[in-house]
Formats: sequence, structure tokens, C-alpha cells
Amino acid sequence: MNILTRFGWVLILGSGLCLAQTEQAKPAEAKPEQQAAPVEAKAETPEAAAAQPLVPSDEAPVTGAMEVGYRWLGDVGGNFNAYRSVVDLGEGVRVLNLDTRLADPSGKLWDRFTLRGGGWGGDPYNTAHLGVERNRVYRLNLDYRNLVYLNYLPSFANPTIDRGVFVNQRSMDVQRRFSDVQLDLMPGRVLTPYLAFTRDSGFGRGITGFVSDGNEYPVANDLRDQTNHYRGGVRLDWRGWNLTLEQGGTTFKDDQRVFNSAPNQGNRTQPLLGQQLFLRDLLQAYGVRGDSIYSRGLLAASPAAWIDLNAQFLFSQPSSDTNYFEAKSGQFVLLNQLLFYDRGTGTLSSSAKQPHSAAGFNVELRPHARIRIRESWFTDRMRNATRAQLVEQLALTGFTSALTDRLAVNFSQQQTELLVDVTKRLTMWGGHRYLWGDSQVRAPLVQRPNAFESAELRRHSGLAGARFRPWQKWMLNADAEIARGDRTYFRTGLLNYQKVNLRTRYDVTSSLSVSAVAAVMDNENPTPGVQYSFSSHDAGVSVAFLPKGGEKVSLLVDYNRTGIYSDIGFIAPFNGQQERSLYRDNAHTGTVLADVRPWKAGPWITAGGSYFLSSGSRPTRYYQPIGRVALPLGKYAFWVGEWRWYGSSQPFYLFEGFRAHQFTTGLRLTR
Amino acid sequence: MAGPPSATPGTKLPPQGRHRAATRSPAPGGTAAVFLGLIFAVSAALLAQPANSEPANSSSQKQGSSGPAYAGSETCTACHEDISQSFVKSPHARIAGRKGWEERACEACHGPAAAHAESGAAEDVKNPLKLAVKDTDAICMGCHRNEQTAVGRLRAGHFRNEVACTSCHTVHKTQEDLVARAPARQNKQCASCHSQVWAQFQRPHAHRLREGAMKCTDCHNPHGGFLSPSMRTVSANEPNCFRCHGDKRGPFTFEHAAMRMESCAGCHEPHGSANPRMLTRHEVRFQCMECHSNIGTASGTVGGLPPAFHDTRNPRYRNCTICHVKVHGSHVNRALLR
Repeated sequence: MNILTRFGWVLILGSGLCLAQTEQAKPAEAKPEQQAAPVEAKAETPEAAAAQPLVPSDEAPVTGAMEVGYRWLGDVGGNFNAYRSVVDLGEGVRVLNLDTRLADPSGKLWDRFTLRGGGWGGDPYNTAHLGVERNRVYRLNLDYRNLVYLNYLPSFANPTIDRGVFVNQRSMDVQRRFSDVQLDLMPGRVLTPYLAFTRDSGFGRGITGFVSDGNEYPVANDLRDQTNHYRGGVRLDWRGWNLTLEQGGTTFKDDQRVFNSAPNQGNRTQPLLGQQLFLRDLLQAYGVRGDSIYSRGLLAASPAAWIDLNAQFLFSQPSSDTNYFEAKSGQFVLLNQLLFYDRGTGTLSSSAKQPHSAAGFNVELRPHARIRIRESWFTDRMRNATRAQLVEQLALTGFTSALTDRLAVNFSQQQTELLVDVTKRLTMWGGHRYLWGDSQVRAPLVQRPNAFESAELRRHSGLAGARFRPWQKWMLNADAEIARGDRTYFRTGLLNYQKVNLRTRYDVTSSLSVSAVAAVMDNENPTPGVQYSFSSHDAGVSVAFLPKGGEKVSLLVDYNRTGIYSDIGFIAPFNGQQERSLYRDNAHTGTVLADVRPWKAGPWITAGGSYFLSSGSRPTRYYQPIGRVALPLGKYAFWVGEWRWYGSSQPFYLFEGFRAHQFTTGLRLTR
Repeated sequence: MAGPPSATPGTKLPPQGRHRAATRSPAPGGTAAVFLGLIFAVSAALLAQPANSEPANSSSQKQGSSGPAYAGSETCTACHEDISQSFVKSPHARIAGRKGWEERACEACHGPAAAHAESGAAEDVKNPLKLAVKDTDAICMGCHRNEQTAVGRLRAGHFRNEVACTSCHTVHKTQEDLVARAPARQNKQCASCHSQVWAQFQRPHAHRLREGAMKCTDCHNPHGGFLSPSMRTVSANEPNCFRCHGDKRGPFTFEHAAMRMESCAGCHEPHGSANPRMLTRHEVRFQCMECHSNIGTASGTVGGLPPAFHDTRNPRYRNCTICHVKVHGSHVNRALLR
């Protein structure tokens, strides 16, 4: 059954159930004496509920805020491409922020109408959201996002750096657009059908590598892809049983092109066996088409006061078909045959199918007022079976290869926890988790063609935690996990680990609160040859001072200290010597934001910003201070002036540093 | 906690031994037993009691019941005028439209309050903010169980760590206060507890939350999901990363197994990093070589053999992705070169 047919069935089923529900509602209205039925049956009719506008009648028709202004970008010091890769805010007129709510004068069309957005007018991050809702009738949400993804960071491993060429050989300047719409219909209390559509697309240019034996060439890349998601479903709520059934599908296309039309020496500067390798013309054209169907069934219920349960079944089956063409000319070599040639073509057609199913079941039992038992089980199974046919013509020599590939991953988890309310203010819990799984993947080429390797996953974890609230002002939460395993999929995967998280919050006064977090995690894989050791720690404290609810002064301070330590052995591929990969990151991050309004109806002054300082493998300093003034121009208008500074430097990568001032002035309208 | 004897770290069993160890493991059998027990428990619950989905306070609300008496919202307003004024703007004001709750909207959550109205004592009325978390949640779930987002609730980190609904949702105020949907507002709310995560977003290479172009719930479902840590999914069961990065979704003719088995977070730090492209290592070669090293093959892991014998002292080979451009998976080349 294809996607459209399944989608059609969901629509038909949803419509039928809607109609049935409408029919069922009538007797309920006609027989008020049946009110001993559960609350769903006793509930108000949709019409009665819809007649209650949520927006009070005295509210202004439009409320919210809008900020429009002009941004100047001072001279960017340092590497402009790095600035664009990290910040990328330019100058010009901008709708900086929009957050409005519209009231419906008739009280019949909507209860909630929200329009939000920001970054319009040329910023690299434009967003828009429209939310409209009518109580018990419908809910409509639309989202749009347009993000520029620019990455022109110079690379540490830049093969052309000795020639003064700093451009990374993998760079991109693409836009990713995302739009999403969902409509929920509420014809009654039992049934909620919904329909949704999502589109994700990307397009732009970049630089990528074209690899041929003995040399690789930075070449232009034209990226273009699009994914559409269609889904529809129905939610049923009946006597404490809640069921969601959803059917969806996706279509996907990727029409990437890679090209070159001028002599390109590549990264090899020395001749190979007396021949200078180079690329003159290149065209690689990818034509990937994919689709998928997917189904979801979700269940949540409380059949009795002492039990909660939920279950889910998720299935998808994405597939893709590829038609690839390549034509090149220049001077190339086929190293395994020591064959030099000046032109070649290649075509490949391939297909992949990846059925993927997951299911889970969770239950909470409350056999006693102070005792809860939680049990959960989950499994995820995925297969990918593929085949491809490659036809290559290198000068006068032709090759045909039939290729296959396979990936299989099974993963399961079972967990049991016991929670005890020791006192009214102290809850403690403990439990056990078991993970197991197996996988089969393609082996590296050096073994033999079409070879596969497999790995298993097996790990037991002990769980413990507590929540302590000795009095209303103080809360402490702690949880810990200790795991021991004997199988893991990857050398860097979790095996023998322990982690502890602590959180506390203390409300010193009604206007001052302090919270702190701390987390520690260690992971070890002592297997000879791996000897992996990883540890991370994280500690932070936050202070919020808002006297009189922040009417005149507010102060928010955050400080965080993070450390990462990783050490693992590996063999250098060129000489077989054992080396160690060490990674260190010791970071301090702070954020301060102070708001002051010295007198009533006076200006708001905001000052603060954030900093990030780290040492270790990639020492970094990144500052983002901010100063802002909002001067009232009337009851509903403010003049806003803002200054921001971005400063980034990395001592080992000085060529990536940048500094930039930004000034923004504009109007903020509120109501 | 120590593992079973067969799970001693570093123990290398021959393949057959491994298989035996796996089949002897007590947990799957235990799972089956627990599962059967649960099925019996659920069946017993269903048979023993009629279905009950009424709001938390509805049992004493039924007409003619002899439970505690109700005061009515008007009585509440007399003392709590500020809350009452704010409450009419809240979506929860809808409760007053439900049969049996007219003029009693406050008591739908706070319980019968006639005694409190008479005595003025805080102990005589339920305050969900001061109740045990499970009791607070029970009040909310009385009406909100049928939220699609709540299906993974029992697996959620918030639920497991006893974080009450009212920790994030301000019940008496407007829709915007009840559910923080505007990105800046929502991010601020999440950061008020997860300050260490927000600190990561202050690093140079991060998803665009600081700029207000994204929010925490774009990736996470705070009510829980089947993926950890409360990750959203797309296309039923795929990680939500593919919702925006559809070009990385595949299925590829030649997969990079780590993408499917360790997820994107195997190589990327999505909350922010000092390393370009949010990588977890400062140089790409270390990112790759930590897994692709032949000394790991004895440990039974995958990807252990080195992909080639390049001289990584030469800058040409220090950034593996200059050549292995399709590192997320390739439709064309087995070595992920095109």
C-alpha cells in the first residue's frame, strides 16, 4: 500500500470517527439524566465550551510587543569568515522581534491568536510562528524558520596552508528552510483528528573534495535537498484510555552537484612517478530520491487509581534510490594497476531500504500510598539492506562492480525502579537497568570486500536517587547511576561508568534565590588495547535577585565550571606505533544580566553579557558583552539603543579570531 | 553496582562463550516474568474496577456525595482577588465551562475549600505547589493525560527526578505563562534549572538558541520520549536531528554505522563546543582515529581497523573529512569518498 493510499485511509477513518462522534454527542445533550457517567460524558458540549472566550472582553484587540530597528556592524577585526561562521549578524533595517496576540472581537473565531517572529529584513535567522486556537473546536500552528548555515572556518589540517591558502576545503554557505503546519480538530471530547505537513529544505554553495588516487582537489559544490513529511492521525480519549494512531510518509530528493572547469593542481604538489596529477573538468551529479512510510501507535491509560501505563509502537521504512553520474578529465592514476589516464566516466545506480521498528511499554504501580514501582521495557530494531551497480570507464579500460551492504542494529532495555516516600518531604528511589543488543556492520576495506563485522552491547546499571524538600524554600534532588558492562559497540562507547547529578535551590527571600548544580561522570573501558578513560565534571551556581518582582532592579548571575578529560590509545596508521589521543577542556562560563530602572517611567538600563574561557586542547576566549537602554517615549513606545561586542580568540588557531561591534537603534512598541 | 560474573570488565570470551553468557543472562527472563506480571496486574485492574478518568477532585464532587463542602469561586475571589483576575486570562478558566465545575473552577485543582474559607488556614486547602510531586501531578493528569506529548512521561527525566508539572507551568496566568512557547522565554525557563546546558550554548559553535532562532523543545520533549534524553523523534522513530538536517537522514547505500548506533552525539556536541562544527574533539583525525584503530578489534567493537595507511603527520591526511566528504553516509562510495 503506498503512502497516499495509507494517508487516504487515515483521512477517511478520521472523518468517519468525527462524524460518529458528532452523532454521539447529540444523545448526551438530550439526556442530561445520564450524568452519572464519567466526566467525559458529562462534559459540556463543544458549542457550550466554545462559547467561552478566554480573552476578557476588556482586553485590547492587539497586545504584545514589536521591535523594529537598524543595526550597524562595526569593522570586523580578525577573520571575517570566522565571524560569519559563528555570529553572522549583518547591518540594515530589521524586524528584531515580534510577539503579538490578537483578540477576536466576535469571540467566535478564536480564543488565542499568537503571531511571533524575529530576524526579518536580512538576518541569517528568520523565524515566524502563527498559533490560532478555538477552545474545543480547532488548533492551528504554523512555524517557519530560515537559517543560514555558513562555515568557512579555516582548517587546522589545511593542506594548502604553506601556499598561503586559508580557505577550508570543506566549506559551505547554505540556507536551511523549515516550515511546519499542524491542524488539530476537536469535534468532541473523545476524538481529536489532526493533519500535519513539514518541509525541510537546504540549498546553497560550498567547497568539497574530489578524491582520485594520489591526489584530492578542492572543487565547487552545489547543494540542494528537500524532505517533505505528511502525517495524519487521530487521538482518542475514552474513559481514561488515551490512544493515538498516526500514519505518515516522507518524500526526499537530493540533487547535489560537484563541478570544476579550470586546471586544478589539488593538494599534491610533487609529481607521482614523474607525472603531475591534475584535474581539468569535473562533473558529479547526484540524483537521490527517497520515500518512507511510518506508523505510530501510542497508548496512555490509568485503568485504576493505583496504576498508570503507557505503550508505544513505532515503525518506519525509509528507502532511497540513487542515480549518480561522474565525468572527469585531467591527469589521473589508478594506483593498483599503475595506470595513468586522462579522462573517465562513472555511473552508479543503487538502492537502500531500511525497515525500522521500535516498541516500548512503561507502567507505574502504586501498591501502597508511599510506594511506587516503575517498570519499563523498550526495544529498537533496524536493518539496512542495500545494493549498487557501478560502471566505470577510465580511458580505454572499463570496470563493472556489483556492491552490497548491510547494517543491522538491535537494542533493548529493561528497567525497574522502586520509589518510596520515606516522609512527606523525602522521596528515595533505586532500581536496575539492563541494556543489551547486537549489531552487524560493513567491515573496513582492508579486511576483504563485502566482509562484515559484528559487536554486542551488554550493560547492567544500578540506579539511585532522592528528592528532599525539608521546607518550602529548599529543594535538593540527587540521582546516581553505576554501570558495569562487558560488551560495547564502539571503543569510545559507555561501558563501566558512574555518574552523579545534584541539584539544589534555595529561596533565601521572596526576591532572592540561589540554585546550584553539580554533575560528575566517569567512563572506563579497560580492555587491553583500548584503555579508554573519560571523565567530565560540571558545577554551576545561579543567583536571581528580583526585588518586588524585578520592578526596578533585577540581577541574574550564572557561573559554570566544566572539565572534560579523555584519554584513549590508538595506532598511528602510517607506522603502527601506539599513540594516545588526549583531549582536555577546562572551561569557565559566566553570564550576568542586570536590569535597572532608576525611577518610575524612566529608562530601562540593561548591562551584562557572557564569557567563555577555556584551556586544554583548544583554548578559547569568547566574550559577548551587551549594553542596552530603553527610553519610554509614551505609554506604549520605547526608543531602544543596544551595543554588543563579540570577541573570539583561540591561541592555537590565531587565524580564527575575530572581534566585532554591533550597534542597534530602534523602536519597541508594546501594548 | 557490580555486574554479573560474565560481565567482568575486560573479560574476553570466545564467541561461543559470549553467546552462552548472553543466553544465560537473567535479565531477559526477568523481563518476561515482569511483563507477564504486569499483564495480569493490568487485567486485574480492569476487571476489578470500572474505568476512572475523572479529575483528581471529582470523586467528592458528584452530586449528592457526602464529601467536604465547596466554597465556590466567588468566595475564593474575595480573598485572592489578584489570582482570580489573572486566572480569568488563563486557559484553565475553561474549567468553569465544564458541567459540575461552574462557579467552582478554583476547587477543581485545590479541592473543596469551604473549610478553608471558614478557617482561613492554609492546611485546610490543597496547594499543589506544596503537595508531594506525585499528588500535584495526579491533579494535572486528571485532565491532561490525553496529550500526545505525555505518552513518554513514565520514561521522562523530569518525571523520574520528581519534577512536578507546576515547576514549569504557571497555572493561574496567561497562555504564555502557562506554556512558554516564545523561544527566548522558553530557553530562559529551561536554563533556570539546566544552567550548565545554557552555559554550553555560550560557546562559539552552537545551535542558534542564543539568537532566538531555536528553542529547547525543538529537540527535546520535556514530557518524555522513547529516546534519551527526552529527545523528540521525527518520522515516528528517527532522531529529531533529521527534522532539520534531512540531507543526513538516508538511508544511505553505504552507511556510517556510528550515525545509526551512537546517534549524532557520538561525534557532535549539539549544545555547543569550542571546536568547529560542534565536534567533540579539537582535531578531526582524533575524532576518527579514536574509533578506527586496529588495536580495538580484540575488544569486539566495530570500526576497529584503520580505514587506510595514510601518513597523518602530513597535513594532507590530518583532516580525514577533506577526502571522506560523505562522512555521514554515502549513496555512492563504500569508503565515503563521494
